[in-house]
Amino acid sequence: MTLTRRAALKVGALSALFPWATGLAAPTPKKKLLLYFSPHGTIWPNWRPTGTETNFTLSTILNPLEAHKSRLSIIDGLSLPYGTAYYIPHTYTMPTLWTGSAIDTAANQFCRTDHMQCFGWGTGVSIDQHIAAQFPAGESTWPTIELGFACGGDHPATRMIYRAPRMTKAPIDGPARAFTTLFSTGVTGSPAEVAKLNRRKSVLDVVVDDIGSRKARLTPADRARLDAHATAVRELEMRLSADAPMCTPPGMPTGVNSQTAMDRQADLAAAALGCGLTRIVSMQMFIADNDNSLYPWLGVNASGHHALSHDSSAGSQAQLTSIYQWYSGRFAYLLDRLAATPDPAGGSVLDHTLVLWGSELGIGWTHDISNVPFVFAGGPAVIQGGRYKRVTGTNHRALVTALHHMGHTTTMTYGSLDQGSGPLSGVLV
Amino acid sequence: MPGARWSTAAVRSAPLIALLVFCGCTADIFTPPPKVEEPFDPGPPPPDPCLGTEDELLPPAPVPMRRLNRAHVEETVRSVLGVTVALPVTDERLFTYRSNVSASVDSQTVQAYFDWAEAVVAQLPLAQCTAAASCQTWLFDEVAPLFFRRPLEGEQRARYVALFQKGVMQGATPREGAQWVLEAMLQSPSFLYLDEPTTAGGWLDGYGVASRLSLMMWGKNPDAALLAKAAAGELATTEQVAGVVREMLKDPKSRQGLDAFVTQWLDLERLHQTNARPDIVALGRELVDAMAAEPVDLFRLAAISNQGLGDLFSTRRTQAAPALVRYYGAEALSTVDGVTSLDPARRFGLLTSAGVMAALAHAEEASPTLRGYAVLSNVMCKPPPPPPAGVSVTLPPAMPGATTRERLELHFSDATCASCHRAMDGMGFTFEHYDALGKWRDLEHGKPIVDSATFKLGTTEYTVDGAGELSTLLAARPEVSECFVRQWTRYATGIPEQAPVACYMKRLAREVSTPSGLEHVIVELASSDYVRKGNEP
Repeated sequence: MTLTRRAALKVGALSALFPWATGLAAPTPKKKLLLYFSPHGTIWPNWRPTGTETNFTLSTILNPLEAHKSRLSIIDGLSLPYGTAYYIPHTYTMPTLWTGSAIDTAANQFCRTDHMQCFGWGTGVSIDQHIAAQFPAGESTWPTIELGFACGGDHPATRMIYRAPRMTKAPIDGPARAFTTLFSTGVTGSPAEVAKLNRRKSVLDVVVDDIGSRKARLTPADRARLDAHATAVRELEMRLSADAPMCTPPGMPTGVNSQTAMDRQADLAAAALGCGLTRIVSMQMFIADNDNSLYPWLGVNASGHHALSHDSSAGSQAQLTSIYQWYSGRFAYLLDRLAATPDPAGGSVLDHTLVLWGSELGIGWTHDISNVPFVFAGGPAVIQGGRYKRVTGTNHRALVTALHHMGHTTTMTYGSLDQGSGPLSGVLV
Repeated sequence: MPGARWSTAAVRSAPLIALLVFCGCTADIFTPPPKVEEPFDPGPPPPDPCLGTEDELLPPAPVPMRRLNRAHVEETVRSVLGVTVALPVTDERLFTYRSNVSASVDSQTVQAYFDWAEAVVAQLPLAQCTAAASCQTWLFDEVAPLFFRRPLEGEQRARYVALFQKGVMQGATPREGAQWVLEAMLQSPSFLYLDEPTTAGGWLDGYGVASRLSLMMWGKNPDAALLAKAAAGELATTEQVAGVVREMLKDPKSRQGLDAFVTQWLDLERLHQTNARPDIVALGRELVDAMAAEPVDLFRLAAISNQGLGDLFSTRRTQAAPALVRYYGAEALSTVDGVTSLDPARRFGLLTSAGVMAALAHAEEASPTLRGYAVLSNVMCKPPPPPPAGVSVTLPPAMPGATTRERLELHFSDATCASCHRAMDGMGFTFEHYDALGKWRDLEHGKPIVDSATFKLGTTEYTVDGAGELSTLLAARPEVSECFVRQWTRYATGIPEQAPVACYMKRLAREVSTPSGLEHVIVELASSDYVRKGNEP
């Protein structure tokens, strides 16, 4: 596998194009970041490892990660503050998870009549977008890639990635759509492709210019929405004229259902990082509020995760544990794929990637957010693995840790709710 | 014209009506409390804070720039180009209604529009485009206004003409030029976002009015005839718009708009949650579609045949499809001209239609809790709060062979649960004759169904004997009328109802249950200043 060609392929300069040199020197490794979400916290007694920081045994829920134990730093003790006067469980912490900033309760775009509350989107920028915004132009085909499954309609409880305050990025929902989006663009230079690219560019230029033909004056907020739309169209144009990845693209995902979808997305995430399509991926399993996905393969055939999480009976708690354990299995599969995918700079993708797994709650049962489970994973050059760390602080410490990994080593605080400072100690190498 | 008494700032910062009323299950849900010995007596009317507000001018609805819903886009393309390709984008949900007023289009959504536009165009035979001249006439004078909701003019028209010519040059056929143009139109902001310039006085122009009416009533863009009315200045006055809306309601196209409303209002999308409801899937597509359609047709029939809101809760006249008539079996007494009369002892209008009852159930199990919650939340606009954190929602184990009702009554053994569940489950118990698939049943586990229930709302205790009595009660309640008007306004404007029009909405609520009330309210709101005025900054 070699590097993605990054030189802009200009239609007019085709004749000057030569077959790409092979045998390039191994490039400098590029650090990568992957944010991973699963809903509704955990069941602590079945999650918490037993033992010391460096000598511990994984519990039922984290047990599927046994093979990756030396690559994990398991964090016990970070809270997830929401920073508003009122707290709607699930909904108000989804926007804070990766942004460290509060939801906008002055806006009234969304209302929960059962809570008698209205609110808008999050007011922060998620760390992945903050980092990508400072990449040099043309760093990669996609500044970031968002993948997910069953992530619902547009709502603060269903979106965790913020490109700007009040502007979310929706995950590509489902592996089929993700595959065509990520791996069907790029040109190799045949005349038919040049013609197609010319058509697409001409069409998209008109689409962008049409924004200027609006007759009505706009509020600043609506102007910002149209600007974001225009930016996204221009990014699409850039992707279309980028060269096809020189790596072997993965095949079209098959056998996709609710049991396999996150694994197929993990395949695509690993391939995208391995092909150099991006350096930053986020993955979202289901939604933060009232996720009532069913898990028939675990015997959960009715009422779903959220309803179960309010059920204290032994049978329901056992079913819940099996759901959380299944999430660990999905996370383990992702690590498998990252570890098995070669990095353009040598080694595996996981060797250069910090993977950070979080949730919008600590405990589904009580909606507790004073302790929310986080797990870091990465290769030996990335994190000090094989650790179970009891800490105190807020999710911001995890965010700053990720920023430091990505080279923002002078950043000590992140997000409007951050009242601490610095990264978690002893996590990064 | 009298001076407006609504300051713009007040409108912008106005809190929602929803925030001004009710909190918690123990709040006084029915006001004022009826006398105990006459449980359904509404009591004396409350003092009216709206007295004397009839002549006040309505402010414009503060609607942000709206992006068409997925269904709007798909339906418009189906009408204009005759093809159906699923658009893989998601919508925002405000309250229960889809409305894209705050989310921005991100890179993956742009990619989705792009891929979809190419897929639509690839399906088009484009027989209109054998010759360049007629092809351009078709594209720019016929198709463009149907997508952009106003004529294609000036610089924008020149841009599309240039795009067409580029396509013709590269592909050497007018067909290729048309493909380029249509791909651009399908993802153009001029198609995807409403463009609502205002004239002096803040009025929307005719095209803006036509667009709002069409999305509201037809669930898609205006057709050529409606655009012609806009061009001719025939959508300028309240009377003109009222007349047009009456025609639009009677037009078969209104089925699409009312479908969007009724389906979202009553949560009928639950009928299509195939993962959660294998029992519904097993009924077969034809019957499920008929069950989903029946409440919509019931509503539309009531609206176009001079009925009031209350009639919706009692009518036995239904336009059920043949598969559903067969499903009703002996309850379908007779069918004349596509209208079936149902057994008045077993069906009581909208809420007891098979589709509504089946949607408000779990797989293989009727759910009084869901049904009661739906009545409180969707029909009365008084949703109980969610269970408090840390409270177990586990019911104690029930005796084997216990009925649904016997199991749920265990909710009442816990005081915390009982405070909400007595009302929620109690209302739900009145629907116990309808099983999880909306079929009438006399027995559950061999035990006779008990569908009378006593429950407290606020401080008042009610005893209701079955779904018929509950429907009669609801039909007479002012809260139900007010809730309906709020629901329709949310749907019709795409934003939550606003406090400055609270008195106006109360007035509509009084009118909605009079004869022809449904049509009256739909026409009145659509032709009001609230809808006909724009929100340009």
